[in-house]
Amino acid sequence: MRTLAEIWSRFWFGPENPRALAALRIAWGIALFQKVTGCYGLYRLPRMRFLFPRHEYFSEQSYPVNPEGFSPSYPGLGWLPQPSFEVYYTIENLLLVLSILFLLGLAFRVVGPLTALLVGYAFASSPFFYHHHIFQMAIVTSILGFSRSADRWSLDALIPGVKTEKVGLTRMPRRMIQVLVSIIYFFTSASKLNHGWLSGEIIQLFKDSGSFHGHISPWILDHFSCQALGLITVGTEIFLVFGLWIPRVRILAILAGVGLHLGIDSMMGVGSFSYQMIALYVAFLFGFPDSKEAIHGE
Amino acid sequence: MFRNFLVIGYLSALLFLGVRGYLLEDTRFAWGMFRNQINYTVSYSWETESGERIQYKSGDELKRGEPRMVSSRRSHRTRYGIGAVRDWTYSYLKYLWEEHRPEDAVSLEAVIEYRINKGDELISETYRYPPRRESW
Repeated sequence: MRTLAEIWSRFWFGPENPRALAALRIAWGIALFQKVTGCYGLYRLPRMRFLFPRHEYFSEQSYPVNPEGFSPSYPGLGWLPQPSFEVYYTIENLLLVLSILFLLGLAFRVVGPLTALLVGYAFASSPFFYHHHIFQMAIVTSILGFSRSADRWSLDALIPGVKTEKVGLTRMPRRMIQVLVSIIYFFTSASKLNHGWLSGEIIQLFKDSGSFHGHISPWILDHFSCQALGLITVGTEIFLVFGLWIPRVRILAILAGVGLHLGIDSMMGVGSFSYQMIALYVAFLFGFPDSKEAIHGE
Repeated sequence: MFRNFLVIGYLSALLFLGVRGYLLEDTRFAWGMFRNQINYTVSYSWETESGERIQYKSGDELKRGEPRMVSSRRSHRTRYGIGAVRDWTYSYLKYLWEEHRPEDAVSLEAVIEYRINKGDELISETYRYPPRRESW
């Protein structure tokens, strides 16, 4: 019988299939590209605009950093310079280029960490840049950017002379992302177990405050009661906490999750969060190899 | 060994932030998306040495973007939870105390009045800067 230490070690540091990590990098690269170009928000169809990069997130009037006014920092991060509006635009320009290189896996040993640092900096420099999807973007980009996710299915892997290590890849990066996904669903469903969600009051509130947009919203709101929508949302999120880990229901869980997130993205603005979550399902699509030999055999 | 610490640190941070956010009703960093909607107003007043209260209306220091979430000039709504409103307000009190304090002011007070979702109950909370033991 295996000891707890062996189970822990195998769970986090057992051998990994480099293609699974590469697939995750590609999916995340697409989500990053969507973020910097504004290619999300089905509720905006058919008026959706693709901008390269997306300079619509903050206008000069809505930009939250104001050196002459109230512009707080996170505790302990006061030393971090807050970017001016022009510097922020430059960061967005750089992120457009970096997201493409991240997706293609070119010069990844520089591009991966640099992308993670820039996203992290943009996130951490002001509390008023806080959005859940940006927080998640900072975490996942760091995990993938500092890992060897471009060992396969990348331009680096195709270029003769660019050396990629073929041994020692562990499950840690993918496991970190799997656990992150479950923790997100756990806390978001636990926080919704309240009267507002279970009675549908919060959906009614979204409706009354004009938070629902797009062509699909009226149809959905006509065919489902507010309470049904509240219960479907909470029920799906609870199912996703466990379902993604159980092989027999995994595909069902992924389909339920994709349906939930595309449904939300069709009805209201939540940034690129829906597509980021869908990209992270890739972490659950591949099994883990049993041994290092299995990887070398590929 | 290092990689074990890395994993344990990562898990601890995620769980700590989640539990902290749940308890403080501040969904930022805690993945409690859309837990509820807080409909609120904030008002500010300086207390002078003579005990007089002078109302303070937010000015140009909040003229742009998200920092306006603590302005006394209009009502607001947020889905980050009342904990986030408390945190923003407290940061703003600190800023006002350091940058806009009248000479004879001894404290600055903020009153947050809010409803949760469509709730009938109007809840009121008062905070002061510099903090007194009983308020923070």
